[in-house]
Amino acid sequence: MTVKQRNPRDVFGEVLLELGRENESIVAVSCDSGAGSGMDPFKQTLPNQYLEVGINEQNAIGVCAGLAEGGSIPVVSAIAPFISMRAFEQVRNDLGYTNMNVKVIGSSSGLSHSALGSTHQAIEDLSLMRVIPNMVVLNPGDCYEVEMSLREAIKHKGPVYIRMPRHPMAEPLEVSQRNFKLGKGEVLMNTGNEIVIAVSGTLTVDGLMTGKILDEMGYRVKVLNFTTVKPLDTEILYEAYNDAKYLFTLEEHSEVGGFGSAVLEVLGPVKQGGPIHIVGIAEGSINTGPYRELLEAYGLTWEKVVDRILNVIQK
Amino acid sequence: MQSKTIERKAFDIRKHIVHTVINNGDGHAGPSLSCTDILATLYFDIMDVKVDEPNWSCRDRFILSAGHKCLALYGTLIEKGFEKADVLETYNKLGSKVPGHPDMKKFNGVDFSSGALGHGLPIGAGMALNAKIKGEKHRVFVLMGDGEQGEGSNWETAMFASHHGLDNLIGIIDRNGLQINGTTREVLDTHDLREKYAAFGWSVKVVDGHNIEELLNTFQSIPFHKGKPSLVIANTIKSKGMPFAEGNVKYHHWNPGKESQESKDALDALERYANDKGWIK
Repeated sequence: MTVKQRNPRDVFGEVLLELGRENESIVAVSCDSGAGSGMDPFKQTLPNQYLEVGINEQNAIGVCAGLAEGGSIPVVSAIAPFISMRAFEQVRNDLGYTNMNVKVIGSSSGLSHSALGSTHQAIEDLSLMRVIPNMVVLNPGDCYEVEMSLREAIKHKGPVYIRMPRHPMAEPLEVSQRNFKLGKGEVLMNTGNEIVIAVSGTLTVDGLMTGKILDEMGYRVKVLNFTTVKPLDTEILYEAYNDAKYLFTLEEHSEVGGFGSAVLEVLGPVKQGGPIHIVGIAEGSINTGPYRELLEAYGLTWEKVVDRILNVIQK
Repeated sequence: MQSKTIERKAFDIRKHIVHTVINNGDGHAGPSLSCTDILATLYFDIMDVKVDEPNWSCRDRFILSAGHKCLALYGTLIEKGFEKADVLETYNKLGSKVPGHPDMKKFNGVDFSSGALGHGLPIGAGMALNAKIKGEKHRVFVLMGDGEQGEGSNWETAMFASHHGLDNLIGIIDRNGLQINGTTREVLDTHDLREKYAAFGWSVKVVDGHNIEELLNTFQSIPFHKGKPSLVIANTIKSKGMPFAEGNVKYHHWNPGKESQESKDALDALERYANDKGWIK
């Protein structure tokens, strides 16, 4: 894996600016959140394609629906709980059912505002966005996935939710080894299907580390990574699950309704394969503290995930 | 178009509303009948639309934010020629193109889907801003209810639209003074909507929402103030055209059944009105 200290927000801002220069239909929409989302370079360079709406997410989503109806491609950003929850009905009705070409960016998602508490953390957004018709849901974990998610979201005609990480993340493989495709998962390691770990988002490297440790302990392990939560790559899941003894999903999200649930929905009817365990946050997030420590407190760092898996398989 | 011709169109739209509810069951008759004259004035004089090209990019847009008044919109679009009248026979039936709230994917001429209150004004502001960005001249009309003013999203957009100088955005409040649970004054008093919108930076006019001449004059003077969004507060009567139900809160929904006395009264009222106007020979 490669450790890069690039900030996902900076990458998002750079790529958005590049795409905005190429396509003047792109409008960056800030809910008093442009700077925090990495949109400042865009604002400075392409002021005519930049819209500040202020602190009003319901209005913001409606305005984006109206902009899209006239052929613009709004990319609207606010921190994840506000854009995915305050304006949920607007996203559902005015972007989802109507299939409007709007890209919704839930910035600083998951536990990334770790010290600010539950109001500023979003561990429910995948559940909410996933249930909306026509909505494509992307959950990038590192800068490569952020860049590719934004590029593919703009190419896709229809609403897309991108769950943006806040902290610089290591990348599980060299970029040359990766081949991002919308709607496709990727194999990060494969020594067999005894234990399958399916990971999505910011915990990709923790998932891979877990796989490597279990492999060293003598288990045969496959680690799959999913940037696209919806539509989910069923093919890669069926293949991995076919003779798996255990499947674990891993995400920085509630265990209810998120990526793990999506995997269960797909694999539930499959006869072969072992039990499926969802590893995430069980019941809301009330703890606060430094990001990595908070992940550890919820049992989501690789050391803790190894323990959780061993607890299951050694019973 | 002359006001007399628009009056006739409004009558034909009312006939669609009343006949559809009588023949197909439960519908929002009262709210649809209160905004009928406004819709007839917009579509038969004020708005620039192309029947043979419903998605023409430079058309004036109309959003029925109070989507439950959809029978008035369906009737108007049918009279305008966007769809055939027999589509209303499917009302309340499986797979209908005329559901209880308008769906842009199902009915030609519906510029945006609606139903949940407080959504239309933000979308209209986005459409108006898009026209400004592209240098296009079309306008966006958004019809809301007065009870709907309780939704906070309207006030987010009231602030946004004036901040961005959207003088191509026209809000219309169909102020019939009633909502499901009683008068707007009893349920949640809107107080003086004119002063409220003016304080948010809009230019406001108050009109008789059943006086076609007055509606024409008002809409022809848009924008009321260059650089400001316009608001028309149209004082109306719920269930206008069904005398036994006018101003009566219980006709928000109406489901009279084909053979009922109320159905007969409603049809008689329409016939009398047409007779008085000399439309029935």
